[in-house]
Amino acid sequence: MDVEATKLIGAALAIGLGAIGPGIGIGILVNGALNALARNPDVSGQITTNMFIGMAFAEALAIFGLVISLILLFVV
Amino acid sequence: MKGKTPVIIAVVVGLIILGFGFLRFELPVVSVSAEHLFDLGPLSVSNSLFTSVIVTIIIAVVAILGTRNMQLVPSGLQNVIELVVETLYNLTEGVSGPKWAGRFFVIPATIFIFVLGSNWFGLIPGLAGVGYCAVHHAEEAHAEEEVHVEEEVHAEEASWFGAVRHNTCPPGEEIVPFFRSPSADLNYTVMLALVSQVAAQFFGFAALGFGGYLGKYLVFDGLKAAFGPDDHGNKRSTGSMLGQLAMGAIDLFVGLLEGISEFIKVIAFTFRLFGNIFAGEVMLVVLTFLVPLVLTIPFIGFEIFVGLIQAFIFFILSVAFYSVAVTSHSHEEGH
Repeated sequence: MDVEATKLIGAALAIGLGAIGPGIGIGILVNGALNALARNPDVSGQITTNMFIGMAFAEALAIFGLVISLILLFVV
Repeated sequence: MKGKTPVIIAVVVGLIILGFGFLRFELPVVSVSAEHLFDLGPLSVSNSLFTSVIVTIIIAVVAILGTRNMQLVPSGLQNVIELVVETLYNLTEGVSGPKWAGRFFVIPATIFIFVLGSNWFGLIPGLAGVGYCAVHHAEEAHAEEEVHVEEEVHAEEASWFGAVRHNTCPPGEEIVPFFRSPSADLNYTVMLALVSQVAAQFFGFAALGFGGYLGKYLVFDGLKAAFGPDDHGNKRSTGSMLGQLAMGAIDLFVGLLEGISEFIKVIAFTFRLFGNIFAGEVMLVVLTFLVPLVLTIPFIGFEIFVGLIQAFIFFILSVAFYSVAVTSHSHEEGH
C-alpha cells in the first residue's frame, strides 16, 4: 500500500476511534449532571463547574487522538 | 418580519449554492508550527509570539482605561472589568474555599483573561490573509512529493467556472500571515501549562511543608507498618507481615503513579488548549474551502464559544489542581 494512503488511514483511525470513548464518557457525565440538576437546582453552579472539569478530562483523550491525526496529516 | 423570512432563507441558500458552484478556493497550507517572522537579536520571533504581544498590549490598555478613573459605584468599562474579576473570584472561592481563594485566584485568572484574548483574537475574520509572500516551510518539506499531485489538481480545477486563487503571491509561494492565534502554537500552551503546574507544586509545598508534600507521592507508611506491631498491638506473624508488605508496596506504587500524573497534567493542559484551538482553525479553513460563503458564519460563532470554554476549563482545572495540592492525604483517610 502507498505510504501516503496509510498515513491518511492512520490519521482517520486515530481521531475516529479516539473519539468513541470520550463521546460515551461525556454523554454519561452530562446525563448525571442533568439528573442532579433536575433533583436539586439550588446547587446548579457547583454541579456545572464540576461537570466542566469532568468533561475536560474526558475530552482530553479525544484531543490526544486529534493531535496524533494532525501530526500524521501535516508533520510526518 | 414574517414576510421577509422566506426571502432571507432563499438568499442564504442561494449564496451557499453560488459559493459552492462558482467560487473555488485552493486549500491553503496548514502548518502545525508557527511561522517565522523576523529575528530580534538572537530571538526568533514567530507570528504567534508577535500576536501574543499584541494581545498583551490590548489587555493592558483595556485594564488601564478601565481603572484609570475608579469610582465607588462603577460604570462603563470599570463595571465590565469588575464583573469579570468578581465572577472569577467567586468561582475560585466556590472550588477552593475562602481560605485559599485569594492566593489561588491570581495565576489562573490571569491565564483565563490572556487565553480568552488570544483565542478570540485569532478568530477575527480576514487576519489570516494579512502577511507577506514566501516559500512556506511546510511546503518545502513536501515539495518533491506534491509535484505529481499538483498537476492533477490543476486539471480538475480548470473544469470549474472560475478557479479563484486565494492569494496574489507568485506561484510556488504562500502567504505567511503576520497574525496567528497564540493558542494554536504549542510553545504558548506549554508555557501556560508549566506556569500553572509549577504554581501548583509551590502551593503544595507551602501548605504541607517539604516532607508533607513529598509524602503524598513517596508513601512508606504501609511498608514501615509491616515491621511494627499490628492493629491490636501484638507482634506480627510472618503471614501478616507479608500481607502488610504487599499492601505497603501497593500504596507506594499508587503514590508514585500520582507523582507521574503531575507531569501528565502538564501534557494534558498543553494539548487540550492547542488541540481545540488549532482544530477549530483548521476546521474553518477546510470549511471555507468546501463551501466558500455563509456556512462558516455559524462555525465562527461555535469557535467563539469553544474559545471561552477552553479558557474557562484552563482556569477551573488550575484552581481544582491547586485545591488538591494543598489537601494532605491524612485528611481524607481520617475516617
